[in-house]
Amino acid sequence: MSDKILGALLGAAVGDAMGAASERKSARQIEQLFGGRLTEFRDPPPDAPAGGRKAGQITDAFSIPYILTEHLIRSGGKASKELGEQALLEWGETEYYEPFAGMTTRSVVKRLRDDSKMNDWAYAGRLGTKLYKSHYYALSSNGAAVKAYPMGLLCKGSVEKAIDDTVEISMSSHDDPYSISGACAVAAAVCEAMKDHTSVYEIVQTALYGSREGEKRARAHRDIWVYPGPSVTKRIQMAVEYALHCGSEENVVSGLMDRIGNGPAIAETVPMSLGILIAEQGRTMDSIYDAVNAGDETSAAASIAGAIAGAYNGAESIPPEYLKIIETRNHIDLKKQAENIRKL
Amino acid sequence: MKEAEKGLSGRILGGLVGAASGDAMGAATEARTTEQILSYFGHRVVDFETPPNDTFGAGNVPGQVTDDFSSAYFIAKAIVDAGGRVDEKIIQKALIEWSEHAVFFDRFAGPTTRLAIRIFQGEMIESSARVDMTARQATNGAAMRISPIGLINAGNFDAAVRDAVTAAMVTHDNYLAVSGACAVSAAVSCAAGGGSDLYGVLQAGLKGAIEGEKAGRAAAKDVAGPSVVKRMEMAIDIGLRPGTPEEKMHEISDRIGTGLHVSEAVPAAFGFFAAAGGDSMGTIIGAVNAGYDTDTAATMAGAIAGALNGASSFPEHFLPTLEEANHLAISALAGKITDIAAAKQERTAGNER
Repeated sequence: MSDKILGALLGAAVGDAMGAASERKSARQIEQLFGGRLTEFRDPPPDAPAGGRKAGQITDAFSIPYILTEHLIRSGGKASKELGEQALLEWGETEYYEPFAGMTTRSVVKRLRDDSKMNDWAYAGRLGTKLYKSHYYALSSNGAAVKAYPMGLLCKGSVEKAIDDTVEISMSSHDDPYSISGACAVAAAVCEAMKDHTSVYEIVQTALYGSREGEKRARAHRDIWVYPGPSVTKRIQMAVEYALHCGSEENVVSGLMDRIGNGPAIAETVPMSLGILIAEQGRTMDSIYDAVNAGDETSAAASIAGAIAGAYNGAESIPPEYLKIIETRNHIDLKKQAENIRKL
Repeated sequence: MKEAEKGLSGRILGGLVGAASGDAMGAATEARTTEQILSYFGHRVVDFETPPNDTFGAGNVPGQVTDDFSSAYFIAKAIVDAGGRVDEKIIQKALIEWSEHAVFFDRFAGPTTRLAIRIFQGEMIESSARVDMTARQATNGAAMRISPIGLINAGNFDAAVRDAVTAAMVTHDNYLAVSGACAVSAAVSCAAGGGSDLYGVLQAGLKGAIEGEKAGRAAAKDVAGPSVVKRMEMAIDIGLRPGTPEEKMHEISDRIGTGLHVSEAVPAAFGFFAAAGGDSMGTIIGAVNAGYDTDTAATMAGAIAGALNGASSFPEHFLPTLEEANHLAISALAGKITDIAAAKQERTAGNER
């Protein structure tokens, strides 16, 4: 069982760190920059969000769920909105916050920091800005989905618990039905991928279940904010259809990119990651490479695909030297975290 | 009167009225979901309404436009003043003049346009530009104000695309934004040229997107993001499917999206046009009630449908309401655009002889 847990953690970390070098670029720019397909850790170029950092270093995509997982382990696996907020506040003090905090997460961390000092009038006045989440671009963003895999690992095989826990954690930062829909799709997929006997088909079906249920449970939540945007469930269906339309794998990825996209919108990143998993029949490293080379928000897509495929195939599906590279360059202990998850 | 409105002048006026009314109607629904629009107004929005207090258009009266049509109007005026010529300087000057009108610019200007105007006014932008943000600038701002360029080049596809590339590059220097702008310009040009129909205009739009993508790849920045062309194909597929316009509106909103990205707003506009069978008000009502960036989608979709069907396809109170609420001389502008468009058509025909 342990190699599946470590596989998910390592898959997510490797996807994030490899994608840090191709983040925000187009597929053509990535090819030019690296003289072909990017399939190893490289120093991010200066104009990337991770510019100045080194090959093998992670960004927000893995550091946020890593810290969240530590909090979940300490609470004995009990997820709550407050726990999600505490984890984000801790993350806000790390080296990752300034360069990487995304549009939604940045405003949430600021708000949480202010909350402690604010009086009721100031607090009430600020509610007005919630209408547009303090930004208007991709209102439901992928930050909820990149930090969803831990709930799939800690749900003891219950997809219902994975979904409920993910609703709770998402409410700390991405409190709208589509963000929660996408996050629950990922948590449900990881929960299914953890089983000893499963398939890519069953993983994707479980992701679709998570997407529908997550949206439904979010809409029933009393604190929910509803924003306009494309439907995560329908976009997943579109990605599945398209991934199965095409024969050649390379075409699938660029075709998915043209139709689904891989920007900050959660209705792009999550369907894109699942489409890639189908195209690569669940293979861990091939899925990560596809996401890293697809362009735009590569760290997020590669870390989601890496977490699901890593859980499905186990840690042995990832080159053994990658564990050491990730652990030493980021001063984190994935083996210990995997062991602590297993104990729960 | 009715006969004249079916001619070139009626189609050009229709293009302007369609764009302006889409913008003004959408100002009341922007940033909401379809369900939130229905629950706030108690019905679908099918006419000018007062924008709610919690949206960008708050404070506008019914019929008052936002950045979409106002920036299109200033561009049209500048091109008319230049005798129909389109170059970088003329577009820059038009946008600077527009930006001096606080009622439009200060309240509504989008992120990409705002930055571009600051840069070509000579401001040095601080070095937060270490990180390349091009991928977040493939937005719909260039396409939302491009329709006058299609009107001036009525019936001339090549000129509509060429001038759209020039105008789009001034603020949105990436190939996706250029592709989206050319799609709208080419569709409006085809519609205003006369003798076309829904299929013809959709085909011109798709061809415009393809040519715009090619031109943009040569002249503008590369950028990561979904393809305007592929998303247009998907949106048009939905629009031409069996089903009611309302069912298709939901599908377009759920699958294509109606947000700020050029590969959402522009394809969605074509989808609503197809879903309404090309009908002017049906097209605008679809875009206005679909949610999110409704005013931008409705401005583009309204320009295309209005140019196809002419000014008589709108309720009679629309034009006077728009002119009064905005202090803009829309019919006079349409007359001047018609003169230039007709003269251009003469010249082109002369060259071919």
